[in-house]
Amino acid sequence: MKPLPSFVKALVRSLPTAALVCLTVPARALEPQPPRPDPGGAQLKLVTTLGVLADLTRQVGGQWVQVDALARANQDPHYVEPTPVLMQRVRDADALVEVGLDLELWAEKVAAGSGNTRVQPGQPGRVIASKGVVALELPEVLSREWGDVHPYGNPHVWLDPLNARIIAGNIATVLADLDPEHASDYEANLAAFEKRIDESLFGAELVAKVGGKQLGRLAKSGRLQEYLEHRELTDLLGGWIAKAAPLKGRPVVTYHKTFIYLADRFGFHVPVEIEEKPGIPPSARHRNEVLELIQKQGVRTILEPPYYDRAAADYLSERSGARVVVAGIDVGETVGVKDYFDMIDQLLDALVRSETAAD
Amino acid sequence: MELFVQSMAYPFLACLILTGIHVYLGIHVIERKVIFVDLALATIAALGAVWGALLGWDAHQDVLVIKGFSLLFTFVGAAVFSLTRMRHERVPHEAIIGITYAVALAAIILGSAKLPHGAEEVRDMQAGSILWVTGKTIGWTAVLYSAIGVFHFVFRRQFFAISMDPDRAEAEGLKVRFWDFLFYVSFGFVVTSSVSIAGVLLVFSYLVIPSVVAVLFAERVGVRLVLGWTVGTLVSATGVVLSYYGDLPSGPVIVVCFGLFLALAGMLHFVLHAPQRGRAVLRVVGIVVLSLAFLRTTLFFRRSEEIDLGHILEAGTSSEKIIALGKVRAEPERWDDVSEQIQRMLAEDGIEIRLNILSLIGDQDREEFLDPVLALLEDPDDVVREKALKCVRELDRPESADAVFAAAQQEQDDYLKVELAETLLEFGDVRGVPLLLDVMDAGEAELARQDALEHLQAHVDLDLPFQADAAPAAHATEVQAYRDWWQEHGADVELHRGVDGVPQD
Repeated sequence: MKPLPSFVKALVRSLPTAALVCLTVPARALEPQPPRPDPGGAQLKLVTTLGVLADLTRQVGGQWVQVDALARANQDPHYVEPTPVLMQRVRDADALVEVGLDLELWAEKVAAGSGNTRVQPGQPGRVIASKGVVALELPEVLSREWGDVHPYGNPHVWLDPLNARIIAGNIATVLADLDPEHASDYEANLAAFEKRIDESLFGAELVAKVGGKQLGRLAKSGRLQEYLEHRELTDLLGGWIAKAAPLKGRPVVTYHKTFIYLADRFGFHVPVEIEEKPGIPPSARHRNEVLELIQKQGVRTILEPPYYDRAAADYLSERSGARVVVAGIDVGETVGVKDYFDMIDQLLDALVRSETAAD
Repeated sequence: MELFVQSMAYPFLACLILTGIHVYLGIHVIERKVIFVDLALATIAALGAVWGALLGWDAHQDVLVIKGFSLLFTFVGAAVFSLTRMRHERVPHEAIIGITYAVALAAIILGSAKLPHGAEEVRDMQAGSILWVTGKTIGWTAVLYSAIGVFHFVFRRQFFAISMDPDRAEAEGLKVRFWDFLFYVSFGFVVTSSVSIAGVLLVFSYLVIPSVVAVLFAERVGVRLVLGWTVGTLVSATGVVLSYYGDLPSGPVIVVCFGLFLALAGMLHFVLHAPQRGRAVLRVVGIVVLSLAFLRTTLFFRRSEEIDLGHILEAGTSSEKIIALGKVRAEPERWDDVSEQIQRMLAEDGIEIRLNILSLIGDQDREEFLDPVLALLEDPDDVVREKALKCVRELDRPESADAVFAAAQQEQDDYLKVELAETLLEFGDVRGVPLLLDVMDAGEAELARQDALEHLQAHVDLDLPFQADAAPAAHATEVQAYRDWWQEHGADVELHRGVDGVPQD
């Protein structure tokens, strides 16, 4: 029994430190809240599930809104623990903005637990931001299996700038409904945002000549290239689409089906995902198929958000020489992304760098 | 076969290493009746990692620091387990281990709620990733486990004494608590690294199941070891082969194989030790037949595959609806059952559903839907309007002209207005011409004005000085003059069948 007293003594001595650590750690783990300007309580208070939605809301709402995102930017948007603190943050919100398409199933619990009647499903304060977005990855024809797809299509819609335009439009409509007094401001902000998206995507010169909406429709239906050639406008193409030219037709492997909207807009494709089904470890055969495909198609990049297990990507990278690129898909300090435009810039930069780097 | 060896060699090697050390430790664990100690220690190790992450270390960049935290916590756990092993136990040791497991897991959940990737890491810890194990990890683990193996071999007398009969060990002058602590520390080392390779489930199975089989059939430690190692190797090999050829995740397959093997071993043991072998065999066969019959019976409760398309189109998810629409496409006789739902969906449903229905109506020429399709020409969404117009053109019914004209007058988008005008002109309706003139002198984008001009030229012989790249109002007088002329003579002009300037999808 000799070692016991000294052990206990050491334990007792370290208690104050331990208590201190216990108190400070949760405070540190919570993100610091930016100070909010308060123009006389006239602001709408909105809560969004993701940082990117908060950013889009800020862009459209301007000075008339204060926005708060529930998930941290480096967190898997599929899985957020619905804690009482999150519910508290929704309690006095005028609206809760979510992507929808079954991405943030946890948002339902947060809304229910908040006791805020304005943000319950079906209320005008419950905003499904992806409304009107054409969801990808829905079955095109009769398929044997009923269950094997996202029930409402792939939910990572915001990674296509043209969808961000639609999302911002939905948010603007809701803001105008909730706060008709400033509706014209919201409309003007939305127009400015849409213009900025169009110009960032296609280049200002081309937008001036053809018009953003038409370019958007052409891009969505895959006719942009053909149209530009027909009209001899190819040289005017600028912005992200021009920057992404080296990605055209390239295969990029991802962990989860996170990037199909980005791929769809910028011309690369995702021949295979590392995971077979969410949350279930892949079988050896699938792993081999992924590796074989990486080697056969000359895949150079394995792209994944920061919250997935690196073991699989590292394994594949080690055997194939493909680079692992970790890039955030949300806006926020924790991932060093300041707004939507910065997010797309960083994603494209990382991809283009990886695809064009000499081996 | 070559591919199999190449791709499963590492996981199999990892399994062999796990078998080697865990069967040995498992014999101790079973003697001590602390079956769940590895779950508890693994959870404590994970708690250490979570704590390290909470203090700001990154699980990917600061691997060593995080591992250090894990080990530190494991040592604390080892100390707790060796201190709480009581001689005349009032509280069973297993209870304390179980409590430690539960509390540590709860603490992990609490801690990881504050971590960005907490939930995912907890999940990974459970499932493990033996498939992704690298040669380097295998090498290091082999060295570490060999060292621990040697350590245990050297002090085998002490370790077995405290596990098998602690009272006598104490009487013989062994410091039981000290050796217990060493046992749990070395055990903690092993479990921490094993769990990071293979996950909690697999490690638990390697620790307990081969040893249980060994204990069933042998008394002496040496024999138990050999038996356990054989079982571990056989089941690993079976599991690895099954997982490869059956296309299944490796870890869970091995665990289930262990379970089945234990069931077989249990039956064999029962038969061998029964006073009347014949009756025992019959009983075993009876139990097996009953279990199979039970499973077979549950199959009768399979969900029926009969599909009520109307119901799905009303209440299904988007993908179910699209699959149902695919069925309608493949079996056109189904249209009658669902036309009511389709009308409603066309007006109210999500955009991808509406686009899908529009192409279905266009492709199969369902003119009975002309009215709801025409209504969509004034939809708020420009993509829907474009697609609806395409559908109207495919249906090609001249009676749509009025609705098309009404929509064109409302249309804010210059390009869509041009397309609407083009549709009118294709129907032979001259009201399309002034619409094109509208775009030509008021269109916002240069290309839209150009587009309108080209469409106009395709349908009428036009002698009009017009430069699309000039300012919108530059040709106002000329366009107005043409507009006036058209007002008077337009009705007599014979339209050309135009050629579409914009490529269609």
